Amino acid sequence: METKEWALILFTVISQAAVGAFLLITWFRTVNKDAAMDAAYKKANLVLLPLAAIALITTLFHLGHPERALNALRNLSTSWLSREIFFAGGFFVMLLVSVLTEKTVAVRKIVDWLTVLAGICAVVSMAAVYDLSMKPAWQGFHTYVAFVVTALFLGAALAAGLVVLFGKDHAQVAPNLQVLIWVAAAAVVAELIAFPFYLASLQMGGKAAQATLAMLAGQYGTALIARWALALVGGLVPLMFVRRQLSAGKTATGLVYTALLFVLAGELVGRYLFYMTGVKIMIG
Amino acid sequence: MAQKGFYFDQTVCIGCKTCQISCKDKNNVAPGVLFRTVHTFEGGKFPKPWAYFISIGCNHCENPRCVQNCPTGAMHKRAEDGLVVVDQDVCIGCKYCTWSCPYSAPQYLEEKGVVGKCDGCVDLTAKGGNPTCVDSCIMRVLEFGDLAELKKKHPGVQVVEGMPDPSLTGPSIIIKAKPEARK
Amino acid sequence: MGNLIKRALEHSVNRRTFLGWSAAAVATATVALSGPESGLVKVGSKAEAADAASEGKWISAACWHNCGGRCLNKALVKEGVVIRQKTDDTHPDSPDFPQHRGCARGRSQRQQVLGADRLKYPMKRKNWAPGGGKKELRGKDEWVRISWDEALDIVAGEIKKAQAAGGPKAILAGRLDSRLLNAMGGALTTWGVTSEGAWPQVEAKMYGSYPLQCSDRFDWRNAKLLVIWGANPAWSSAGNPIYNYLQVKKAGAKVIVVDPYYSATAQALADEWIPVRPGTDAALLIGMAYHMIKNNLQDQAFLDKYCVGFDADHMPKGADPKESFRDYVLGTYDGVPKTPEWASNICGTDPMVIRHFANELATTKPAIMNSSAAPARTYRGQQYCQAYLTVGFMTGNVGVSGGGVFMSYHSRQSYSSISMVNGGSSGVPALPNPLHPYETYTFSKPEKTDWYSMAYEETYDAILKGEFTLGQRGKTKCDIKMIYSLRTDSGGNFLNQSSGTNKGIEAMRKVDFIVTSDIVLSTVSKYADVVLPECSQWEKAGALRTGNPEAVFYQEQIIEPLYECKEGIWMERELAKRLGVDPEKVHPLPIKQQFFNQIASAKVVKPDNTGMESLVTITDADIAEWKVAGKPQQGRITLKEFREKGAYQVPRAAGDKLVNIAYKAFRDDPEKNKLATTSGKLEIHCKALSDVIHAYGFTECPPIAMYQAPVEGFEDTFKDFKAGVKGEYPLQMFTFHYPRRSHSVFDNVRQLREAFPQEFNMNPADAAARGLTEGETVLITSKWGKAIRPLHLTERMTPGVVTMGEGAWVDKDDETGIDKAGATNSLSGTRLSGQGEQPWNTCIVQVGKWTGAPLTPDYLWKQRIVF
Repeated sequence: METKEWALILFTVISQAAVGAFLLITWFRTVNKDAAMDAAYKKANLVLLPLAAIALITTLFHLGHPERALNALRNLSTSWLSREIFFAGGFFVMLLVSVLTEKTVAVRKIVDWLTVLAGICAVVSMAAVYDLSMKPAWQGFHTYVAFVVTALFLGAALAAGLVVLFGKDHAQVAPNLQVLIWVAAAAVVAELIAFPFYLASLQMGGKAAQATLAMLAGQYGTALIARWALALVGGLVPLMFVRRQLSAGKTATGLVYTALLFVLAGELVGRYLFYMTGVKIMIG
Repeated sequence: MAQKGFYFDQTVCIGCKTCQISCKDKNNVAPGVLFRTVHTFEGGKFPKPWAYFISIGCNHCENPRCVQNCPTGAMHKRAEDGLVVVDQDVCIGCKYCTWSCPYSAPQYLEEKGVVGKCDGCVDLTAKGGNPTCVDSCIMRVLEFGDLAELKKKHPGVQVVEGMPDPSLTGPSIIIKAKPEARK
Repeated sequence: MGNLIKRALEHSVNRRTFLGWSAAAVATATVALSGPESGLVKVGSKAEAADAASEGKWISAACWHNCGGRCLNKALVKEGVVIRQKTDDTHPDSPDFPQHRGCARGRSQRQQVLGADRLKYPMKRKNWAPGGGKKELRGKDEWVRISWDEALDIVAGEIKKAQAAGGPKAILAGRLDSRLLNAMGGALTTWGVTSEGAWPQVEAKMYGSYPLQCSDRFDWRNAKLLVIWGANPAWSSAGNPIYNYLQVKKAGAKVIVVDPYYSATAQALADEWIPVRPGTDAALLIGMAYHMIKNNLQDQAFLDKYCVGFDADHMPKGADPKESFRDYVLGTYDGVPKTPEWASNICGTDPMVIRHFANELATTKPAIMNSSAAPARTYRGQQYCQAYLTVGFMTGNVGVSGGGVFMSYHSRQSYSSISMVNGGSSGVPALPNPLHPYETYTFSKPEKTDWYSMAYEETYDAILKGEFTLGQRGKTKCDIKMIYSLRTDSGGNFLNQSSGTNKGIEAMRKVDFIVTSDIVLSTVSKYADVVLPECSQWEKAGALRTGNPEAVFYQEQIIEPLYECKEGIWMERELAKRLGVDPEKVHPLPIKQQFFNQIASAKVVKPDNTGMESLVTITDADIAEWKVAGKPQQGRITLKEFREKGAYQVPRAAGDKLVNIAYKAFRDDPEKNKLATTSGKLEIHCKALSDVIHAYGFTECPPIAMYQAPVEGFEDTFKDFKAGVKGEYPLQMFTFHYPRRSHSVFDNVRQLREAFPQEFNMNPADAAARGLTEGETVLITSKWGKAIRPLHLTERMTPGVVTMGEGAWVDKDDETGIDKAGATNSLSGTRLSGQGEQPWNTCIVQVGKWTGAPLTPDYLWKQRIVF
């Protein structure tokens, strides 16, 4: 059992959130007509850019030889880890290009969608990395679901936070929030549906899968409950209140931030569980 | 390419772990790191118990997941003999290979920040010798050589109870199994 | 320098930086390395590949332990640094002419010699003062580094003081002979069998030879049945014995292993495993004898012709015919027929299994029975030996090809008892101990009155109570002031290895002064006042070593002495000067001269088996090069070849002239070739044995094999045996030799600790009854002490019996009395029995929940690094 996977927890969660948030903001920006809102989206991207950078930097803490990090790109032909780093790096670089090409809108729009594409590839590659390990807990559909859910759930919460932070006009912000809350809710529900299937797949698996199941039911039971409580009670419920406030014509800024914090905490705990309960197939 | 591999006669292994220890001496690895491990399995019911051992290093697999997954290409399968070895000058210490091997062959070396593993003692075998483990065995239950020839010489199996499914990676190992260990 | 050493000890270093320091280091103080960081050869990186390609030199390195093996061990030395090890590759390997391959311990020799926990400087206990100082702090006091001069002055002064107070009898030199003290009138020594249990006197009196003769290993292959009794050569005779047994099995023998534990040997070789409770083997054998007699399966013609005492018609001269073994078994006079059911009630073996085993043994011919000493390491251990030999004689497997009633253990197990090559003599004249002018290990003359020494088992009581037993002369008073334990190697760790460690600690805290020499802070040194750092064998000039009868090993110096380490010889010579004794009398020959003398007098059997001849050719040039005194001679191999190979192994092949069959001459003509027993025959009824056991003054021994319940045996696990009510200590504990160490030696080596955890083994049924589960830390208690250890549950254990490897380094907390290392002697008591054997395998314990913090794996524990 790896115990010092905090660098990976931060990398995957932060980069997935950045990808999800950027995807949603790019969508909004594409359909948006308001100049003030466009400025807000621009500012939001200026926040996502360092987040993507931080995510990349955290990976260095996982390495025995961080100075050789670029070697990680040498096996794109077979290694999903190479591809993960390639696309995560690509996402950051494209995001940087997007920020630098703000003034040439036509170029930027193309760059933005290429950035989204890189981001999606990064999230899928990340899941593939774990899918191809020898840990049944990480193999199969669920890792893809879990990573996409993080991107959309935490990404939506992050985007919501950025939109209320930089968007001044309630009338412009409210439709964005409506969409984001629906995306977040859909993501959580998707995971709620997927999770029992995941447990069932472990139940049917070999010794290593059984060991994971035993850990989830045993020593990590509390963390599992905390993960869902944070996501549902701490994240989804405040977002629903935000939605109710929206129909009352108010932007519940504080509740948005609260929800963001709880969703973030929930995803971090969820990812911690993911790493801690991954049991490798081995002799024994 | 003549794929190299190991033969292990489990029927008379005594679990003395000389292979495990001589491997540690050869590779100079710290406690906590094992390039070859002797695993003990026990069962039955008194007064009819059973026990057997599995001595395992790297199986230099046909489809080594560690090689496929390695982002740097440091982990590679040699064309000339199929041995799976790691170039520690290239390895970045991401440990992904350690998650990718069902036999726990790649091992992270904390002090060096890279991964090390059983390399079939290429420095010795290249000169026609045996890996250290083979030449250390008190019961002469380990052999190393061309897998095809080993298969011809020893009827055996690729897996015994307690080992991962060989279809995962295609291990280059032949085991003469004890009755209790047969899958 | 100090900083560099600190770095070496604390941190990973690569070989290059290490080379840097050793170049800078002064001659007497090189740098020891911490653990596995001592150099590397691994084709993982370019630098290391280059390293691997550069030439080093393989030197034959000592592996000198009392381990039950003797193997070839070589060290690769490159630019003065030991890079790695290898084993025998001097000739192609085959079952008939096998290489002598070292075990996990031998392959860890580099970690032991160059470990970070090597003792570096002379040192004294901080709170020691003349008279003892704060004696209660022994074992937990701080250490203070002192100079050699100060150390030697203290020791010489204390010897003078002790001798002034009580003469030579005031100093206990224990098991280790001190030539210095012998030159000064002697010292108190201890005698009595350790490894061999109660065997020596039984062999000598019943069979007429000690050690017993055993047939050549090629003849073992003619056996149809091999019974391995109480032996686990896979672990306790590492090296070729188990491999030789495999050849016996491959040649067609059925293998039966008798053991309370389904051992590594049993799982590899046994067609059948016969479980038996410790200390009850005699009952099992007597039950088998009953079945044989009732079914007339015994070889009566053999018994009539070659033995005395089996039945009333064949009693030795002067013996009461009612004392025949047959009548005892049948219960003719005591009314108790010793049926398999009677036996089963004691030994736990199923009566049907006893019958079946007896049948098999009596009817399969030829058969070899080989016993180890473990079943005889029990209270009244000789009763097992008597019963084993008696049943063996009943099968008639004596003096025939493929047959044998053997006791062979340690490195000679599975081999002939006749040496085909030997290491010669060091040439050092004997300097006996005036207080005990006899052998100590197998002291066989208790009836004499010119000895003043104690049984090993009585040592602690002698210190604490001030008296010990002098055979039939009764108790004598003593006042032991000092313990002197200068050790030539790394053995002699009696506080850890003798029964009753807790009593031992109490005794160690009573005397005025304790000095030891050591290579690491072993238990006996931990409780000493002054500890002198000793050179390991890798730092000494060299020696020849033998083990099994077919090979001799040449072991030379590998490295310069580490730090301020010195040879024991140097220490005693320096002490002699301070005590006004002539150092030349104490240690007249330097080690190099002794080594040379051994080589020059080494002998090898002639190929036609007509005698011995010199092994090594020595030239004038050799003598000049060695700078020793000697004469040129003609031998079988040159000194150069011997040195390069590091061994000489007698060439063997099936059908060669060197095959011997034990006791064949006696079998062929018992009149002409009488045995050295009273009757000249095999003595099933043996008065001489009774008499000699009586003379030791501890317990009585009937002249025939009988089962009498041992103290702390199976019966003692009951409060009421007849009613079946269990007592306070309801479990029997026996101990086994663990490949993690050789007795206590190597127990500090982390890679061995990692490979072989010190677990407490128990049958799951016994654990379930106590609510204990796999892996949890349990508390083991006995009348004599407490220990905690992780529990391992296994169906390989006989229910009601538990076991743990002997030799773990005692780590006792004075507050709680708990030894967390799990040394078996923390649980054993001292018992005076028979010929002074140590009854380790009769020990009863209780096991229960441990409520404190669970133990961490001991390979992660802090090493005993003093400076």
